[in-house]
Amino acid sequence: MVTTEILNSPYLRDPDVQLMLRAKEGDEGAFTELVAAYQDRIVGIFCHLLRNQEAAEDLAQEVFLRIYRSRANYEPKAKFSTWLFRIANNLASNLRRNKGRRKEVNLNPQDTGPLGIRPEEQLLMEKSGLMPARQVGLKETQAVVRQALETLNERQQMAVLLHKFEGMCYADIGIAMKLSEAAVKSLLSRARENLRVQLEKHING
Amino acid sequence: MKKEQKEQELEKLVAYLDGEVSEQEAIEVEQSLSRDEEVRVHVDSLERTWQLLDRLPIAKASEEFTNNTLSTIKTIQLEAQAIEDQNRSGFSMNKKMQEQLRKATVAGGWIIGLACSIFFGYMFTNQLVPEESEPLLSELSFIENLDTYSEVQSLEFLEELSHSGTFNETAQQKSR
Repeated sequence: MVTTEILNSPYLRDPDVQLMLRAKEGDEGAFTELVAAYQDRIVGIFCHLLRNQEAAEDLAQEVFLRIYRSRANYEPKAKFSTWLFRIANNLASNLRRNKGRRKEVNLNPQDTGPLGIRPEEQLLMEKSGLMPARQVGLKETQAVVRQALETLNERQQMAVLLHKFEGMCYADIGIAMKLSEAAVKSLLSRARENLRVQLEKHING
Repeated sequence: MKKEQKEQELEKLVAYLDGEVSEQEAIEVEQSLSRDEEVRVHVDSLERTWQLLDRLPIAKASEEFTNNTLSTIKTIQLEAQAIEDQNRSGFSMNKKMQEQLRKATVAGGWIIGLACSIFFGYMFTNQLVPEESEPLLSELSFIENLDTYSEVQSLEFLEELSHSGTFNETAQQKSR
């Protein structure tokens, strides 16, 4: 059913909102298009946060399931991507809370994550002469940047990922993370300063 | 510079790099950049650090992800459909039962009404139409002595007989 609120929504120009409205009306193809459009982005974000491809895909699947389940009540109150990343942020927060409660460690520090090899593995490979020099440089940088990213708290990480990789503005990040714009501004400035301190030695390389 | 002031300056610089400042704030930052080497170096290192994040590999969903997700959704959809069907059939069963109950109530009502009519009809008829044997019963002693009364022939004769004392003598003889 199309309500006046939907008809007056300023987000109707968002093509993904249109797809979601079609999915709401029972168009399965529209929902499939949304999954195809966002799966890499959402898995990418979760991989950065969880450092585990399987866990990232499980959580990404849960995001799409939640969207599917709530399609009947969907109203375009934000851009589709903002709504999707809000759900993603909620799930990531819940996972962190549960992990904290159960004191579970989901990730095996010995595993090679989807974001590249770990520094100790890299050292081994370098010593064994298995990697070409240019690749060693890139892998080293990746490992260092990843380590720097890991020093940020989870909210800072999420804000950085949404801003850097999703190109989201402060207002949208605020909606996705349930924060004010001022809080996002402060969160991102601290995150960027922390990264700068961590990576200072490497930025001239 | 105080810590709070430093933090505000940093927020403004980062927001400037992110294109999240007002026109006035942008002018302020640009003025600060033009006159302060330290600020220029700081902004430059913030920018270059940010660019380093581009080196991170971008993970993608596996090839099976779409199919897995859509099949899971399909399963959920089928389960929901099954529950809905079950609820609907339960509802129609209740409706059927309600209809049967209604019919039974109507039939019961008719039966009770009919029984009442028969009962009251019987009672009413019984009150108004007298039984044939009733007058006979009320006159039973007369009927039993009808032969004697026929022999006597008249009431005047009996009265004369009573006054004559004949019955008294007969009674006295019997008592002896």
